[in-house]
Amino acid sequence: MPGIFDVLKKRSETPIEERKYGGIYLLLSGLLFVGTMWSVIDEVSTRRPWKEYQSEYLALSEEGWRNRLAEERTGVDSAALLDLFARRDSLESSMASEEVVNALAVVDRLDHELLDAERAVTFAKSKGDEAYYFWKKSVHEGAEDQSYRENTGRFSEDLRAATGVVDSLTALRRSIASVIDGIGAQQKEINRKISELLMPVQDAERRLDIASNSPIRILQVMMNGFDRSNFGIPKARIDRCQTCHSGWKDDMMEGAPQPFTKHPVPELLKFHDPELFGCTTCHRGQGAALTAGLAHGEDDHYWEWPLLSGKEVYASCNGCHENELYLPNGGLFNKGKQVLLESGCYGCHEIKGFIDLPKIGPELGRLDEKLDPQWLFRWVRNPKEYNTHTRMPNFRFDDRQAGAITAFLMSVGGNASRRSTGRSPAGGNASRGRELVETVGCKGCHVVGDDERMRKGRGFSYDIAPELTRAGSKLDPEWLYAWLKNPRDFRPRTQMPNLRLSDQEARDIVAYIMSLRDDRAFETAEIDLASAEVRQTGFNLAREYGCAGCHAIPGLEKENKVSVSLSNLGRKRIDEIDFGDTKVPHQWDDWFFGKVRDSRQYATDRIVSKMPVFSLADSEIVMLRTLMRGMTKEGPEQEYRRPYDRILQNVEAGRRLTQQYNCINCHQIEEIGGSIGAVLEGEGMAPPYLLPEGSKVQEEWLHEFLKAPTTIRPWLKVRMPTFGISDAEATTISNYFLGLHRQTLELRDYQEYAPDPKYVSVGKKLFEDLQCLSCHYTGTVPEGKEPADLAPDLSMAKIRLKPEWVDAWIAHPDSIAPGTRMPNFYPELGEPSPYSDDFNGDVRKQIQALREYIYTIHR
Amino acid sequence: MHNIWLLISKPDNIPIVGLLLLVILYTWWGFRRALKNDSQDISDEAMLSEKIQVWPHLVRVEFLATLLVMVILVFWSFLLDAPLEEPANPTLTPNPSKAPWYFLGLQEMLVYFDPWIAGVVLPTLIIIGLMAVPYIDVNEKGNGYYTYRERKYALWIYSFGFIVLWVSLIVLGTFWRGPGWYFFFPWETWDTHRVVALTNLDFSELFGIATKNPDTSLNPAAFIFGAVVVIGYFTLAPIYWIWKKNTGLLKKLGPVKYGVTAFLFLSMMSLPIKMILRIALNVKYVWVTPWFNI
Repeated sequence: MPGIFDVLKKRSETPIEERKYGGIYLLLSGLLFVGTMWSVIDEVSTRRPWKEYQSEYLALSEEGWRNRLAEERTGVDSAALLDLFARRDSLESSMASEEVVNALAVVDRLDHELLDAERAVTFAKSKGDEAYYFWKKSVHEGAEDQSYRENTGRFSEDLRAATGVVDSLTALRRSIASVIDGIGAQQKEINRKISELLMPVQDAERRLDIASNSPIRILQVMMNGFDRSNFGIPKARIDRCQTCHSGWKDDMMEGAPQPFTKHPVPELLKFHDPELFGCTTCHRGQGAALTAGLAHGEDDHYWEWPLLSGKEVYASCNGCHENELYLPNGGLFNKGKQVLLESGCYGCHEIKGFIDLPKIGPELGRLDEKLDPQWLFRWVRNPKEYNTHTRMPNFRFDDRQAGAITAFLMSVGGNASRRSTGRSPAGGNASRGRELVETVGCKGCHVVGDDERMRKGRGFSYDIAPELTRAGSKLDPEWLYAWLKNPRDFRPRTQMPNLRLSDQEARDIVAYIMSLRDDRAFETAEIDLASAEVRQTGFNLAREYGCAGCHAIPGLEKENKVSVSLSNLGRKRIDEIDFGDTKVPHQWDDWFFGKVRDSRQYATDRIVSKMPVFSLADSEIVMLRTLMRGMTKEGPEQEYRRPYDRILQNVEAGRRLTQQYNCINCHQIEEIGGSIGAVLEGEGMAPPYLLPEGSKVQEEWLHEFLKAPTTIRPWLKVRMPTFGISDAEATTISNYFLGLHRQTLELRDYQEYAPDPKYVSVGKKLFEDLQCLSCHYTGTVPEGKEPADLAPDLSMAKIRLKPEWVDAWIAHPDSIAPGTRMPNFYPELGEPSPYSDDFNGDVRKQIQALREYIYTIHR
Repeated sequence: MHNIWLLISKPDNIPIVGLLLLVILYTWWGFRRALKNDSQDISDEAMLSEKIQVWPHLVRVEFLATLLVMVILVFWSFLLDAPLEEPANPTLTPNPSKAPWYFLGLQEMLVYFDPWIAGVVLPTLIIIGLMAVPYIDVNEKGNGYYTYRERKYALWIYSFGFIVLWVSLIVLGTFWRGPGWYFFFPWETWDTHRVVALTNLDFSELFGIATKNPDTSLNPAAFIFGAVVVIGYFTLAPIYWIWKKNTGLLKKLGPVKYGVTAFLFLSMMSLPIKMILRIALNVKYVWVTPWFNI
């Protein structure tokens, strides 16, 4: 066998004219042919996996709809259908009867005559107008032309006559046609019923048709001007996700495997139509790509927005809804916002959407009146050791630092000797106090002892208010008494409300709480409270570690946020993140998780970390992480967003306020809240559901109630506290409740109202027939009834309820408050009333009568 | 090893690997032919005295070469997709930011010279120098055939300038320069956070002459020192002339051609000299002036 070099050598020795090139040519053109084939195969299959996905989807869908169609066909009520067909046929035959045919002929003739008569009317009018014009013209020119005047009169006569002919012809036609019209209406009705019966079948046929006749093609959504390039130029975004995920809106694909499955949360798509918004707006990924690896981003690590997998997709909500705390179906977004808000991250960090919020911690100052320095030292040293469920994080201060901060805090806002309120808390009954704590609503915020139902109901690892299990060893009884009587006396901005306790009730509660002792042994320390130097050290530490981010501290009123802005945290790149000496995987996710889990772990001998250690549960860190991943400077362009209008701003302000005052622990307002229900015994003992409130109660009444609550449901043991809120705050809440119904605050006079005696008398009769008083009452609460069977005092209705709401409530109570025990007396508003013939059985009028009667009960 | 493979298999770098192999192949091929010719009385090329027609003998070979190139490009495009990266961002340039591969040699020069010198003066000199070659190199021997013996100087200067100073700097820039334009061995991971001690000094400071006075004004002594060194370097050429006097080469070139050639050669050699000074002695500048630094 000759070697290749021998072949080449031999070839080079051959004269050029005699060299053969055919073999080389054959080889190269063969290779080029292979290349062409290769590109065809790539184009058809290997590089176009979406084609197979789409045909697989269409086959699945077609099969599903075919089965559905067969089911629907067998499921049709054939007896009813046959009956309808028979009726339709009989109507058709009656249309062919001699009487009808004659009538039709007459109508046809009359229609022609009418046409002529109508033309006569038009002409007469037109001629009259012309004559009138020339007559008036001659008058203005000073020489009145009598003939035009006469003509004007004559044509008016003609017009009147022609109109008369039209009217009489029309009346005649109507009287004859009514027979035919009646049959026509019946036909229409029957056809409607037939198509209603056949609708599921027709729908399935239509869907089957779509599935079996769709071509395989790229499905894309193009959003013009959705993005901006890095150079600020608007550019389109193109999403082709639907090319593979073709079943996203196909009901048949519910529960099908990926990529064919239907979108799991169709409610969200109602507001974010993928045909308009695309998919990558929420899910991220590379919309233009048509293979899974590139589209999802795992095969293209240069793609800056890889797919958000699973529930992480809720991170995207923040791109547009950064100002909103709560979104319906908001999933982890809502939870993340709640954890962020309640953990007070914004105290130290500037975070988009969390600007100008009140500090989450209590005001500090005059602490010497309230507690013992040794307790404070232990608390500052490690709050979690005292109470694992506190929101206060652990700063890991050493003994010297904690002592200095204690000395500083004990000195601010007052002099270092306990002030006496002069009112003795002695003489309380601890067991009565205990009962009060259980019932009046303390447990809506505070956990006491082993009763963790409220904590579990809220579903978070931390408490919103201090746990009172061992408060007896912490607090000064005299201070506590004064505090219970009026918390705002001591802390003007506190969230703790006034429960309107009597002196004796307050004493009982003091006695109970003082009996809750702390028998754990804690280290104590020598603290030099008097030393100015030590206090100064404490002051410096408090500044350095940003205590003023959460607490209002006298002397630290004007502190800036101590840490970095997090408004673009979601875009932080790996090479901008420091992992210290840890072995944490170099991923944004892992870094964030580790940072919140143990904020000090990335510290090294050169990099100081001052962020305190929070003890959030892993699930809560994931909520926060999901939110923060979406915390980016840029978002979609304004035109693709819901406008953050006045009403939305009102709602948002209200959400923040109700969150701050913890209204939502007792009341369910939107979809969440009402955890206190877990600790209240018996149905009907929970505070009311407040979503309807804006459309329900009168604005003036609400304002007064919020400022100074009065009793509405006397059987409730839990009390609506007096929060001592300002007029502005009450307005915010009113606007919130109204905003939930897309309304704004306006003044209305509800009292200037004269009831119609006719309505009142009918209403009274209905009121008695329907036995409204078996649950409602007027004036005094009936004895011996279960709380669940009681409903509010109707004598307050006139000054409390909006009339239109009362009407809506009687008409369909269940859609206003799902699960209410109020019966739905009038399920069909269109049908005649089953109770009375008054107003010809008009349901709406009868409801109005009931309301007008109820409004006269007012004392 | 993993890192070496990552570097070599990067779609951007594959042409550079090809370039490296082709340069070695052609250099070896050329020298082989040249040495063979030198060992014979008459060169291989001279024996091909017979003339043949362009059509079809040349054109058919060119056609086949076109086909071959097309086949290579087609299969290349099947196997490697275009290496696209993230969208350009004016506020966030990639690290390392690399010039197109054919300019990596220029970019590498920026390490050793100021932008004005490395980016303007030296490239201009390269172009002017290449344009001057036909006028300087008037040696007719070696035209039309491979030879080493007749063109020793030309071959060595060209090989040094192109292979060492141009191609190898491209290879260096591609495979050895990582984030921050720091030097990484191929088996090292490109660590964005790499810290390198910056201890560069000016040349005069090696001899105890500070470049700047305490008030940051230029020290005249350092200026003069630098001027002596740089100007002294370029006076090596006349010294060589005087020393060698009347060798055949000098006679053949004459003073003007000799002067131009010597200036271009010394300018070319200033790059490796500066590289050695920088790498071995941490020299930042040889001559600091208020207008330019060398």
